[in-house]
Amino acid sequence: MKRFVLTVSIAALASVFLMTGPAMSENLKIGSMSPLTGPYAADGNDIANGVRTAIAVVTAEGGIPGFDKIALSPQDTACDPRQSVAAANKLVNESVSAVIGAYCSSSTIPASEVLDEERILMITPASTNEKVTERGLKYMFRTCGRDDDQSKAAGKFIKDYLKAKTLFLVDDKTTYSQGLADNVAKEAKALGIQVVGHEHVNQGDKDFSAVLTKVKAASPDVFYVSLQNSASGALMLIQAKRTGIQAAILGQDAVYHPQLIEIGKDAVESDVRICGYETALLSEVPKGVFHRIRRAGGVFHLCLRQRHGLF
Amino acid sequence: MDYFLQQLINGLTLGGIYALIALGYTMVYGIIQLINFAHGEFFAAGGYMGVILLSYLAASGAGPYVCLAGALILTMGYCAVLAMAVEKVAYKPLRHSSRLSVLISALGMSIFLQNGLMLTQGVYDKAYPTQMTQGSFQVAGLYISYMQVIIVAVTGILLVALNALVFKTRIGKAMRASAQDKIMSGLVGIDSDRIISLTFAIGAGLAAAAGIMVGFYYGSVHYGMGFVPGIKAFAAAVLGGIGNVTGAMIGGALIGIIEVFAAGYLSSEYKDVFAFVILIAVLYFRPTGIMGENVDDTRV
Amino acid sequence: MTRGSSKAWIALGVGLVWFYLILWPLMGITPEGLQFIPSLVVWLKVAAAAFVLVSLNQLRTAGALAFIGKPTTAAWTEIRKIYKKVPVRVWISVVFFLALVFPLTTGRYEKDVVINVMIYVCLGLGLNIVIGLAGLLDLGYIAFYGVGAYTYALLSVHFQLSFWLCLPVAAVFAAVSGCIIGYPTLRMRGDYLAIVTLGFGEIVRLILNNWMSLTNGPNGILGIQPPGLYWPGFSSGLTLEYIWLKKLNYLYYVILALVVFTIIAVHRLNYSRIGRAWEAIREDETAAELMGVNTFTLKLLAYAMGAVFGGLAGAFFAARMRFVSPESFTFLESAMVLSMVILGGMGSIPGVILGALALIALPEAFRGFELYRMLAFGGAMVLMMIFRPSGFWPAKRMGQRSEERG
Repeated sequence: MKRFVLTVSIAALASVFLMTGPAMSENLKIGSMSPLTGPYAADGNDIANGVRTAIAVVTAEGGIPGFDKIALSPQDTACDPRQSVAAANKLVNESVSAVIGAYCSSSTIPASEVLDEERILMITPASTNEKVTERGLKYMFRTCGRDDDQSKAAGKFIKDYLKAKTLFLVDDKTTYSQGLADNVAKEAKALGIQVVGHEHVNQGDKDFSAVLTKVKAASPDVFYVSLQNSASGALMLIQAKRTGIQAAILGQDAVYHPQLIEIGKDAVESDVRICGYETALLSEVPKGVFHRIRRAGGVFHLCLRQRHGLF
Repeated sequence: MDYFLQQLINGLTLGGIYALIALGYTMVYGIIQLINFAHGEFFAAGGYMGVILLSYLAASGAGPYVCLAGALILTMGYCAVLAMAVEKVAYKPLRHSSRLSVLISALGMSIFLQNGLMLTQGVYDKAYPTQMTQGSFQVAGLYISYMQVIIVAVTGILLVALNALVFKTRIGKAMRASAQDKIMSGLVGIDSDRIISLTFAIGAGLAAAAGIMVGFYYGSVHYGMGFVPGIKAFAAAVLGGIGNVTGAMIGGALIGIIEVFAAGYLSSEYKDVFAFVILIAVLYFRPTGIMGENVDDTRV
Repeated sequence: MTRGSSKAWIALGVGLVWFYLILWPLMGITPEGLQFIPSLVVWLKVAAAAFVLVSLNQLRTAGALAFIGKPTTAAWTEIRKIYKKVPVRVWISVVFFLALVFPLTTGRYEKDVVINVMIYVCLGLGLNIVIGLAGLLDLGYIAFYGVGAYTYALLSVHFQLSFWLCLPVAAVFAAVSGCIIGYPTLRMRGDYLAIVTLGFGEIVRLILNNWMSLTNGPNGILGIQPPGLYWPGFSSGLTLEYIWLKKLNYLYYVILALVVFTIIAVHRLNYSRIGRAWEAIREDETAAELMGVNTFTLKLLAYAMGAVFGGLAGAFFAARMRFVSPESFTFLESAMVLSMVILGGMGSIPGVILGALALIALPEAFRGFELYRMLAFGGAMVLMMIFRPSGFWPAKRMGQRSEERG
């Protein structure tokens, strides 16, 4: 009788193990935070889709050891600090292991505090503000460059390659664009380039004619455009051409998007250079990427060359 | 002097766009006293429909003029239908409730339409086939693009046409009667529901025309583009004296010019502040706007 | 088929035809030619949903759903009877008790959402004074929220002042700005007031965004202290320790206290002499003035009082986020607060609470829709307004106007 009980209990235990076996293998759950709706939805969806693509690639290459599947929970922040904190808390509730995001630095900063408290890894692909990673948070990382970093590359480019003496800057008053423009102005002054003007436009503006007329009147050697998104970059370039600005136009990484060529058309093809980050010098740019950008219109040529130190 | 004139041209163009949107605002306001927050969305929908039709017509091999005329007319028609549907769904059931309820319904409709555009058209900006109207000419050192001339001209023509419609035709008479007293005008045989529908259609048609012109002028359209010009146009309509067609025109032009001059001479980041401060100052001294309007003691 | 039902079906049919007329050009006209399949798929889904809804409604009116409807109505009347019997005090204490134990039973996310709701309850009740009681349409209310938030942020970052000390300061600053904004608008009525307040709201936001030396512009202000409290500690004998209320649980009770304070204050104001005077102004300004109500001071006071609660909510918001940036104070936020007041029912405290709950919780509930989230939200707003045009819980009006007596 004793033996019988023993056998039955062992069998029961074994069956429990067998049954829970498949359930015990884990899913890796990660979250993404980006503005899926609202004015920045274009870039926000790019981020969410980027994460999806990355998951597909990693899964196709065999996945992450110890995990069966990678699940994604994409959250909308609408570039609103309040909603981004809510999204971060939701991801905490869903007990994700890591979060990719957010887009606007002003969303990333408060959200990162929440995630840091719960010791969840956060990696931002887009928030370039220095403060994002400068607050000593243990779980906050970035894969994009910093505003002060890009400005060094831009300053060098303006001085050494364009050999400019005067510079005019325009930004659109967001954490990112203004921080960058301020740093570029500082850098330029240090390099002995005269800053003849620094103007600001507002987010959501479509009409830049007044500012551009000002730029034209100042006739600088280089016109530095620091805008939050590529579409307004394209608008700025079209209108700059129409106004008759002769300066070499320099953009930054946020306008670095296929959309720029699609909307800007011939206004973009004339004389626009996009500057990347110095520390993000891609020692080995994947060949495919290079060709694709080239095929798209060849505008980013100089940027990549500059990244390779070819000029 | 060149600089001044160039900025004046910039301001007039911008003002023309605001004025076209403000016309729809003011007409709708005049007849049902509703601040139609969804009006900016008709403008954006017009911009999108314009580029959709233009690329379709161009691909089917129509000549440039056929394309332009066809797209303009069809887009205005489309936005008129859209506005009538919006009115039926979101405003008509609330005709006898508090005016603020309709305001919130309009706000909800604005969010709905904006996101509807985003979902059907994608999150990226749509490029306009600008080569059709690209180009500028120089007069005494001033750069003037063809689109600037077209915008100012079209705005002027529409103002005259609209004034004729409101003051010279039977429909216009019915509109004015409805605006004054709905019950009384109903007694003399005016179907006020139809008149309101028609007003929405005309206002949205004008906004659609503005949308297409903006698309050509700036080269692209975006689903969220209706919001900021919508608010500015509302300000323009009030500045001119809300409910007054000529006032909307003057208000639009003024807001555009103030904005451009503030950006050009003072500081571009505070340009909207200047525009609003002047608006407040004008309303402080002339509480019913520049052209004036009969404000009865309406309660919110 | 009765006449009413055929009417509903015709309306459905016409509506769906119109819907397709609007939908198809957006989805079907492409440079590659005209396409019907994708738009038809979307249309069919919507049509099916609409069909189900109309059928249900038809069944309801025809009485086929009486087996569900009757017991629920019966239960509902029963509940109402009980509700009427039990004094309001009991209900309030039940709700208050539930609010007290709420954070002990829920996760971070729920607490976060409820904290947001309560911030907006404060805002909504503040705006309710301006719009619901005094009848002044204000489209720039969020400016006071911003003033309160930046007041605390700056005082905390530069002078390390405590939250509790800054709370009244923020309220005073907001009240002063309320008077500044209110003063020039007193001569205006109706929609002129709307655009001027909208303008002021935008001016405040632009100043916050552009005055770099004071507000650090779009970069926002970092390093704001959370509220702190002296708390008896037992680690080394009985000492008073200063602890930061950083945890969501503590923050929850802080905002709960603020909400309770706001509700009591607004309730008392409502039934005071001042509240009566405001209502008189709302109903008929000229008549009120004739009766000896000082409309000028009272309208200014309405702005100031409304602003006080906005300022308090703003100070809490800054302390809770420990970061403020101008992106939180856009026109859309003003419009949201206004919607809460209207949707909940103007002038009614429980209504505003319901409105805040609906408008903050709905976008969160719709998170699963991802891209469709705001579309659903906009649609829900329109529907709620159509089905409850005077709000979820409209306030009882004192008396009647002659033209309403009919």
